[in-house]
Amino acid sequence: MALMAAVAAIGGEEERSDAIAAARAGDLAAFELLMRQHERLVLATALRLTGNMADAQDVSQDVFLRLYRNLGKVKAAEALPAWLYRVTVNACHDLRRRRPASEPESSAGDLVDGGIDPQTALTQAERRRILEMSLRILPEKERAALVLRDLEGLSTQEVARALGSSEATVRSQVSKARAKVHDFVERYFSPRKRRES
Amino acid sequence: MNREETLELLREAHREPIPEAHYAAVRARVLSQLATERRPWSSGIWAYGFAAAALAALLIAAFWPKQVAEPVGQALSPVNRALSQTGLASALALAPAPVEVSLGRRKRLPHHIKGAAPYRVIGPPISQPLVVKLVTSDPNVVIYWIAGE
Repeated sequence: MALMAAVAAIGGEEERSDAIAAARAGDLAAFELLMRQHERLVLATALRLTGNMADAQDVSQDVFLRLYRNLGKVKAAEALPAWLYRVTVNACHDLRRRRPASEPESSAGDLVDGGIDPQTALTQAERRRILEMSLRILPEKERAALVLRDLEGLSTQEVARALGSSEATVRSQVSKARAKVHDFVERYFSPRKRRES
Repeated sequence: MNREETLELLREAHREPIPEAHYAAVRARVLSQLATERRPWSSGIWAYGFAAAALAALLIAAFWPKQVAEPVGQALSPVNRALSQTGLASALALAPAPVEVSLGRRKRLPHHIKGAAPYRVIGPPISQPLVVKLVTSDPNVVIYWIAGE
């Protein structure tokens, strides 16, 4: 399914199994390889759920440390991404309980590559701003459901497993979140359209 | 803009690559933490060694045999030694019997008694004879004066 596609993109099945086995035996280089294979999954998800890079890095660090301490529990390499999604969501939830939502940092220009033209950079920055603002208006559970389902591309069943809820609940949360985000984006562009006309 | 277009806009923003520096920072933090946790036990052995040495020193100090005091007889003068050998010293009770004086709780005195002794003396009555030892210029001549009750 979607998760399997993500797994395939991450690296070869055999390579990941070898890395897990070696890391379990205490090989830090193998664990670093494992981190490299899954760091995008963890950091990008954490960034969308927390809303800022500093918190996302804290969460990622926590997730990988938990992974290292629980390598024995990861039975098969293909189960790892699902485990990482679940732990990342939980770690974001824990962070939010410990530390109330901080003022989101301005990430305009943060993710822009140096070589692109200013027009494209501006478009990308605005797109990112819309994404951040629209996720910020959502309640925590709806945000998690939308991020995993629509941005990370997991199936409803996989999202339900990661969030520890039923598929019906996930469908409802995703539907509400989509409606809210759409309303927000409409409102975001409507004054501009009016101004242009 | 319909809902699908909105979602596509968000997906495009989400797909933008995160700079490598952010990933590298996370990796460095994780590996540094793991390296600290996995530090070999031998690097902290000096602390264990110091603790063991301190414990050993305490045990040695606690169980070290105490020096045996010299017998009393050897420190006595010839007269006292002779007395102790004949058993006369115990009869004379060279050392006075201890008298226990307790500072008992201060009793509240009646109003009409003023200047009374505020302390009471608790202990057995002094029934042993009073011994006065007179030392002469000759070390072999000692005079004992014993007074009864």
